[in-house]
Amino acid sequence: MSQMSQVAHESPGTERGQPDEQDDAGLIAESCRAPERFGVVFDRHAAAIHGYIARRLGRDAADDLVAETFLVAFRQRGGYDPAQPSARPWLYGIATRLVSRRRRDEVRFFRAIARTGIDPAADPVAEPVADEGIRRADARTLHRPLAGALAGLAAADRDALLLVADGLSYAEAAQALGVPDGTLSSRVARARRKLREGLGGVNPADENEEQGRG
Amino acid sequence: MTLLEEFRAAVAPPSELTLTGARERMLGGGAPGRGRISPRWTYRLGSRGKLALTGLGGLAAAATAAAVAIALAAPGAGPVRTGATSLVVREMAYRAAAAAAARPEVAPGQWVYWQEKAYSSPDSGPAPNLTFQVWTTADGTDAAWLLNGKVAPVPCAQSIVDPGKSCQYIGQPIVMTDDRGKSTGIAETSGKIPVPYAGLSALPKDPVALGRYIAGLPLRGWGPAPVREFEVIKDLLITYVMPPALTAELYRALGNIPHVTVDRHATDVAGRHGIGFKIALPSEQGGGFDELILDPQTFALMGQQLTLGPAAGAKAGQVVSGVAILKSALVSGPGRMP
Repeated sequence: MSQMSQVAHESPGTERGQPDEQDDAGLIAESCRAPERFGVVFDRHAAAIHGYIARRLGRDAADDLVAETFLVAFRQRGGYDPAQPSARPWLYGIATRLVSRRRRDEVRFFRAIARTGIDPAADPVAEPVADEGIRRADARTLHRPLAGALAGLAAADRDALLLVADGLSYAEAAQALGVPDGTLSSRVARARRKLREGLGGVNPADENEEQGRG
Repeated sequence: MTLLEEFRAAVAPPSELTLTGARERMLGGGAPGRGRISPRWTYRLGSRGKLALTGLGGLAAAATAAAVAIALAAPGAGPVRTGATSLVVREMAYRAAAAAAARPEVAPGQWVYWQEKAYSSPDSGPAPNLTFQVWTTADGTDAAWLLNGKVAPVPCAQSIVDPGKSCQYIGQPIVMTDDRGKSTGIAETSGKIPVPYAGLSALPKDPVALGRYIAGLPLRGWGPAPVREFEVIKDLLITYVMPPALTAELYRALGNIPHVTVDRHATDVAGRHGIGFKIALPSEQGGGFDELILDPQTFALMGQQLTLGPAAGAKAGQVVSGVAILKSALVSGPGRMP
């Protein structure tokens, strides 16, 4: 092996065709002097953030807002808390604030699903098969009232619920929204109660989620 | 899966185009995306070396025409330009580096098969749009070509360019025909490449230091520092098949060169879409652009092009010469097919 290749493997934080194991905090810190390193953060989280926004506003809006989310994050990376290894709550928080500027659009989006049964955010080619398909089809019959119920939630409660539904722990969701854990728990519980009422008693979440994830 | 999760999971994933655009916008700091720039990739036949025509005597006229191209591209000293490198350039360079690092190790004497398409504008050289096959060693010191169905060694041009020195080609030899297509010959850009293959392992290991080292090479007539750096890296990339780690470092160094830009809509002389790294040439060098083109999926080297400007008597945006690498592979010897 040449000297070049030896040193190349010793160089930290560079792409070598291998998955980058560095945590988000390290990447963000490094991106302050090597901005392209922020691209790894983008690669890790962009698809999830896009899905989160698409679920709330539709795919077209998500296409715009995912770019805006990461642009805001990129510009604010100098203020990122290095004690937070994962940037996920931070990014979801930015995305949620951007969504909040379009509250009316969001409510209209959910109401349209409730009224028509057509979900513009859904993947039309991802049709399930066999038993899984039957189970999903059952679930989809509930999407219309679920969307209607989501449209009727208070904005803060909907934020909390949908962050948790997107896979964030309670602690992460609280961090994303900048509220205490207890406040987050109260909002999620209230949102679920209202959804359950709107769905005729069907619990939109399982017991594990009731107990919180983190 | 809960109903809420099911509702969330029903969302279609974003398209690659969406993510790519968002990523580029982010790394570009929010600047609007650069519009499509007409192809102007740059392949400079003999910007330092000389185009040596050997083989058939009927190519004398072609040699004259090629010499005109060399004269158009003759370098001149210019002011050193400074400026920040685009984040998109650095990002693309890092991607190219990652791809290069994953390629197999090679020995200096390893034979490599090349199928290429060369282009020269009608007023700068013969044989536009010719596809040909050649073989070179990884260190660029030996070459062979296919002539009338037989593999023949490419004659060494040392007597023309660098008397007393061993053969050293820059890029791959180019098979040419005369303007009537009746005679075929081989042309190679030969000259003294600034870094011999044996010296590659002694290059600075850090891409920034590597770039500074290359920019500081005593190369008279190669133009301003960014152009010198770009040209040296380009020559190394198109000539040698190097250890993958070194190739990766060169791409990273390429991403650090001021004034290098990325053209996401580059088109090589074979008409294929690619990602271009390009640099503007000073008017003393004919203006226009020199450009390397990479495959947008694999980031493998696809080719190079030279575009000269009005300062060299060319039309704005006119591709003067270029080579597209249609196929390349490590083989066991000259004449062997992959």
